[in-house]
Amino acid sequence: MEVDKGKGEAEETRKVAEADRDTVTLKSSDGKLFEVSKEAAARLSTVLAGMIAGGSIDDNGTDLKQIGSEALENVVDYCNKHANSIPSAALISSSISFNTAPFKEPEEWERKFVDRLSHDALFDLVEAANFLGMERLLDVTCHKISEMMKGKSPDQIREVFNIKNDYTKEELEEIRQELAWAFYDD
Amino acid sequence: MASERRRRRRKDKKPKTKRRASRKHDEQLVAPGPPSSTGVHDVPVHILELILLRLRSSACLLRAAAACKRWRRVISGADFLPRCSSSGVVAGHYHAFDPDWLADYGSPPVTGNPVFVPSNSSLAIDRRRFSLDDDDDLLPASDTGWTLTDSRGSLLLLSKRSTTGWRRDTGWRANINSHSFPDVVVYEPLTRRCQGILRPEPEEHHATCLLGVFLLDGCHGHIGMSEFRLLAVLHEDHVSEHGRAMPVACVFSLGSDGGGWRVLPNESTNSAAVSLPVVIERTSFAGRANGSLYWVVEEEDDGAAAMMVFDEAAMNFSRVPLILGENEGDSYDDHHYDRWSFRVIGGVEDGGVLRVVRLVCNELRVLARRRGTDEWVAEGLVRLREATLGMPGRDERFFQRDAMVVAAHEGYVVVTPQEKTWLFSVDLKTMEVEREHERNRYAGPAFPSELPWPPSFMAACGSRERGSRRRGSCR
Repeated sequence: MEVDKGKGEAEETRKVAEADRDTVTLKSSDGKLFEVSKEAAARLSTVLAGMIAGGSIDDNGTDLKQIGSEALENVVDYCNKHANSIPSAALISSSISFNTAPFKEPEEWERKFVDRLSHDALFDLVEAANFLGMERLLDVTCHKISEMMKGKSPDQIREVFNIKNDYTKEELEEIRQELAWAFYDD
Repeated sequence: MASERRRRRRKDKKPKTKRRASRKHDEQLVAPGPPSSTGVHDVPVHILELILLRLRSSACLLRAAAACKRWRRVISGADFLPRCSSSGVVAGHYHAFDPDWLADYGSPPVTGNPVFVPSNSSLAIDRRRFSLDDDDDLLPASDTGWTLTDSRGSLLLLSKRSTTGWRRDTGWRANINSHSFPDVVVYEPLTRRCQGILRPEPEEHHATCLLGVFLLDGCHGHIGMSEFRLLAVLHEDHVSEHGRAMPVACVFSLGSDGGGWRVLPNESTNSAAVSLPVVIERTSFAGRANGSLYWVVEEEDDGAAAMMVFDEAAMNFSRVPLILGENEGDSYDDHHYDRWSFRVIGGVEDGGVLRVVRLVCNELRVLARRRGTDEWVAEGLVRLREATLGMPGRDERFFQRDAMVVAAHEGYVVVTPQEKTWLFSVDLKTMEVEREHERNRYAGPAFPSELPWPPSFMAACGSRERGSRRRGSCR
């Protein structure tokens, strides 16, 4: 529903302000410019939809100071790929509610899209998706990160995510005793 | 390789201070960490939640919680678990062997510990951890068999009929060892924790037998080794009706203050309104369904039957007449209502429909109760003699006598002919008979088991609210 509304508003804006353009230009924190389909941006990002509808899109590049060029490139890439893929019912329903909806499995192309990302690029993309209100992309990236945790021991999880172990020796021993069953190795 | 990327990343993450402009109100970064650390520390809490919520197995969640304190805080937060699909997931079933089966119909004898059969392969836990083989001698006097009698959450209730007997009864009661109060332990297989429960003190002036012991959630609706209750339903002489009996409910709860067994007052449980035959065999446990326990009560004189119901939420008894519409004009005058021929099952999937499974004259009948009434509607029927023809191992001697219900579950019923233990199941959706499934290998009920959710681990650094609630005392 949200998506449709964004689209409607976007179309109205197009009539009023910049009828000749069907892309928007986004500017990363380090000053790089990216073009993205206006329709896809409005459909996939609640924040961009709001900006387009509110006329706060800058023809010379809308400043997105919070997003680095690598992450913004991925965002734009995702939007363009999404525009080319057939939107399924699953996508629409999963983007309606934020925290409560049962998670929809990513589609094959989305899986591939996040699989090729480096660890850091993935986390940057999560934050960009969060900032831009791109709930489907947030879903897909969170899914990927959770996959990276599955079947791993606490030690392995710390290693993969470069987490500092802030438990004391005594606490670790306690955890070990209480949760021995939940760990692979003990 | 990874560290190289990390260094690079720090550079382009400079304009970071204003990042909390996101729509959600976020906790600031907690983990101090060296400046070279990256990635997951910077993720706002609500995104971390989104990630962790996708871990389907609570074992995975616990491993994540053991990685660092920030994650543990997120996972143990008050609003996390209710949203988490992995809490309360059935990890598998313990298939028990019915002890009465051995005594009454021991051909061929099947004994041994209950067998754990996992529900799916994505548990991420070594299946051997579920084993009830008591290598560590945790169970007291484990040389003689413990019987699995109930399960709830991650807990199992094991009981063992005592050889000395609960009461020194005389006369016919002395023979009914199976209705004396057993030795009882509550056991959590995965953590290998075990708690023996003392028997309730019998009241001397009452002739008391046991109708069943069951696990209930703790006072606050949680279940775990530090929070559970037991319910014992006893069969006692009726307070006002001569020559009749009535049920009495006792509840065991934990706690230094006022823990132990407590007899619930008859006024609150409505006990005296439920009149039972004195002969205890005429009241048979029929099943647990939709939050209630059911017994079938067979009256001596007119062949009438009723159900005794104990509502686990209201903690009271009721007696419901049982009119299944099968006596009219047919020849079932001499049929019995016992656990081999009558079971009650629930229907979580179809919104709590109550069903009765009847086995009469080798016909398995399924009836569903019409909502809000005591009216039963026939849903399905299988003629076992005909339906099993041609199945491997099917002997023509079978079904001379009545077949028996071995176990009844929401989706299926396990049945055997009386002549020999030859187990097969009837799918209640399709009413088809089937013999190959693993569930047909055990002559007894299957008890669901969930993964434990260690409250002490979670409370240690979790929200204060959670910790203090647990300290409250029982009503």
